[in-house]
Amino acid sequence: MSPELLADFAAIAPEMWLVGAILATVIADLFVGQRGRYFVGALALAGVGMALCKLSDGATGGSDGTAFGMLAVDGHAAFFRALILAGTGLVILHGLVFRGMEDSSRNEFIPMVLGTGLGASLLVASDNLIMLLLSMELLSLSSYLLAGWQRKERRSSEAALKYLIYGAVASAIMTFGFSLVWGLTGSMNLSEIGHRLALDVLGDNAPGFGMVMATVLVFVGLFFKASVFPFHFWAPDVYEGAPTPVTTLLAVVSKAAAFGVLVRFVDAVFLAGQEPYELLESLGWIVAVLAAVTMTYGNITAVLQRNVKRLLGYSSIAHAGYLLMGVAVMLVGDEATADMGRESLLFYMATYYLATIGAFGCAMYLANRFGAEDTDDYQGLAWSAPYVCGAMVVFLVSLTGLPPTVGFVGKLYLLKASWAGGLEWLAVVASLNAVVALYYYFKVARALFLRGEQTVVPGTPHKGLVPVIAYASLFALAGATIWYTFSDVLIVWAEASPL
Amino acid sequence: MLQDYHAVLVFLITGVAMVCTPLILGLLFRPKNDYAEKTMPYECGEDPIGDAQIRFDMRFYTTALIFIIFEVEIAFMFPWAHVFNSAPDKLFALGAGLIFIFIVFLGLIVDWAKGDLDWVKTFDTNKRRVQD
Amino acid sequence: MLATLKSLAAPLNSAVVQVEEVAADASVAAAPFVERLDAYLVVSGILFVLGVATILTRRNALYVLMGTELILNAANLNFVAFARFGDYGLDGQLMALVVVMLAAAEMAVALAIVLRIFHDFGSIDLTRTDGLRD
Repeated sequence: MSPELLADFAAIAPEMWLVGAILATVIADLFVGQRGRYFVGALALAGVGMALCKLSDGATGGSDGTAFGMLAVDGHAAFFRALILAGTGLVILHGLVFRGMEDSSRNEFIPMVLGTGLGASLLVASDNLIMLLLSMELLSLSSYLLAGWQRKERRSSEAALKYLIYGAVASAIMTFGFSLVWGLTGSMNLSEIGHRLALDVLGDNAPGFGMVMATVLVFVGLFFKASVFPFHFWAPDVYEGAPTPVTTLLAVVSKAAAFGVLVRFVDAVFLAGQEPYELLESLGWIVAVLAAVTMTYGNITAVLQRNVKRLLGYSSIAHAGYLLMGVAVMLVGDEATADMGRESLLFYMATYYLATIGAFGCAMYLANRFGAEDTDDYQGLAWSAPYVCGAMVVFLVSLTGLPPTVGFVGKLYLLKASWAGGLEWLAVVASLNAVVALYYYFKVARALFLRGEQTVVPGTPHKGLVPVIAYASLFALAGATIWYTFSDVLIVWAEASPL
Repeated sequence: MLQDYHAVLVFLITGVAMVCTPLILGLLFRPKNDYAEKTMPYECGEDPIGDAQIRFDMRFYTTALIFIIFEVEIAFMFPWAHVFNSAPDKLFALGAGLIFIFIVFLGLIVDWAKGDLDWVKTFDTNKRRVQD
Repeated sequence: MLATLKSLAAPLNSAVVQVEEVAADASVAAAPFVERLDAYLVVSGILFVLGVATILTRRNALYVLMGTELILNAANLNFVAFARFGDYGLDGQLMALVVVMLAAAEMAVALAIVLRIFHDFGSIDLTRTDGLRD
C-alpha cells in the first residue's frame, strides 16, 4: 500500500472500526444467540469507543486534505462525527435495557444501530455527491428498519411505513436534484461545484432557473432528514411509533447528520465566491422564513400533545427551526457573521444533543418502569422516581433554554449570531417561541412533580449491572447539562471546528 | 426547438395508427361466434383453475430478495474486474474485492443460520418461527 | 396533464441551454435527433413527472414506491445522458450504478416493511394506516 492510501485509511479509521464492530456483532450473534446479548452489546460499545479514540488522532487525510477524494477531513466533520459516535453508543446502551423489544431481536438491533451511525458519520464528512447519496441511504435504510423494530406493535410498523414512504420520495427527489446539479456544473465534488458557480457569477452568468430548481430538489432531501417545515410530516408519527431508543437515534444522530451535511453543502456550494448574488440572497431569505415557520409550527403544535414522545417529536421540529437559523445567518450575513452562524449552530447542536438524549432516556425509564407514556400517566411519578424525574426536569429546562443550563447559552449564541447577521426579526421570533416552549415543557414537569397523588408506586424496577450503567449515563448527561462551565468547553470546541 | 420533435410526433401518430387500423379492420370484418372453450386463456391442454391474480406465497419473496442482493453484487464486481489488470498493486485490489465479497457472503450465511433459506419455514402470529 | 408537462419542460429547456454552453459543443445543435442531449432530458423529465403524479395520486403503498423508482430512473437517465454528452468523465456512469444498487436495496427494505404492514393492518392502503395521528 502506498503512503497516500495509508493516510486515506488513517483518516477513516473511526468508520473502519464501526465496520469492524458491525461485522463482529453480526458474527458474534450467530454464535452466542440471544442470551449473549450483553456480550454483543459490549462488542459494539468497544467498537464505538475505539472509533471515538481514533477520531482524536487528528489524521489529516491524503495530500488534498480529503480521504479518497470523497470525504473531507476537517474540524467540522470531526465535531459532528464525535457527536454521532457518542449518540450511537448511548442508543446501543439504552437499546439493551428498553423493555418494548424482544430479547431475540436485540442482537440484530445492535449492528443496525451501528450501521445508522456509520452512515451518519460518513454523511457529515462527505464532500462528494456520490458519497453523500450513498451514506444518506445507508443512514435512511437502517433507520426505516429500526423504526419498525417492535414486532408486536402495530404503531411501530406504521411508523416504519410512514418514514419509508416519505423518506423514499424525498431521497428520490434529491437524487434527481443531484443529477441536475451534476449536469449543470459538471462536477460531483461539492467545493468544485461551488467554484464553478462562483466563476459563473464572476462572468456575469448568474445561476439560471435550472440551478435554482436543482437546488430546491436537493434541499427537499436534506430538509426532510432535518424535519424542516414543509417536510416534517413524518417526524411526530415516527417519533411516537418507533421504539424509544430508535426515537433517540432519529432525534439526535439523524438530525446531527442532516445539519452537518446541510451546513457543508451550503458552505461549499453557495459560499465559495466572494460576491453575493441574487440566488444566494433569496435562498437566505427562504431559509430564514422556513426557520421561523418551523420553530413556530413545532412549538405551537407541541402544546396540544399528550403523548410525551410525540411532544418531544414536535419539540425536535421546533429545534430544527432554531438550528436552521444558523444556516440562514450563513447565507444572509457577510463572512464574519457566516462563521458566527455556523459556530452557533454547532454549539446549539451539542446542547440539543445532551438534553434530547437525556429527555428520551428518562421517558424510556418511566415507560419501562411504570408503563407511562402520556402526560396523564406521568402524574405524581416524581414521588416514586425522584432522581430520574429531577434529571428529566433538567433536560426540559435545557430544551426550553433557561439558565443555568447549557441550552440557555446555546440559544443565547444563536440569537446573538442571528442579530449580528441582520436577521433581527428572526431573533425576536425565536425568543417569542421560547415562551411558548416553556408552557409545554413545564406541562410535563408539572405532571411529574405537582399533580397526582403523593404516593410511591414501585412499578417494575430493573435489576443488574447493565441497566445501572444505562441509567447512570442519564445522570452524567444531566450533570453535563447543568454544569455551567461545560458550555465553555463546548463553545471552544465548536469554534475550533472549522470547515 | 419544437420543430425538432416533429419526428417524434410523426412516429407517435404512425405507431398508434399501425396498432389501431388492423384492430378496427378485424372488428369490422371477422365473423363472431364465441363459445366458452374458445374464450379460455389456453385453448388446449389444462383447464385453468381459479384466478391468475392471486397472492403469492411470501417465501418466494425471501428468495427473490436474496437473489437481488447477489445480482447487484455482480454489477459492482464488473468494474472491479475490468480495471483489475491495470491496478498498480494487484494484491491490494484482490484483497479489497475479497473483503467486499466476504461482507456480502456474510449476509447469506446469516440468512442461512437464521433459517431464512429453509423452504418449510412459516410465519405465525404467535410463534415467530415454526420449523418442522 | 399537458399543462403539467409543459410547465416541467420549461426549466429543463433552460437547463439544456446551459449545458450546451458548458459543453461548448457546436456540433450538438446539428446532431441527429437521438444524438441530442435534450431528447434524453425531455424523456427523463416526463419520467419524473409521471413518478411524482404516481406518488401524489396512488394510495397503494407499492404504487407509491414504484413512483419513487420512476424518479430514480429519471435521475439515472440524466446521469447517463450528461456523462455521454458532457465532457465530465465517468462520474455519471458510476453514480448510475450506485443509484441502481440503492434502488434495489431500498426496495428490499420497502417490501419487508410493506409485508409487515399487510400483516398488521390487513391492507397496504396508505389511508388506512392512521393509528398515529394528532
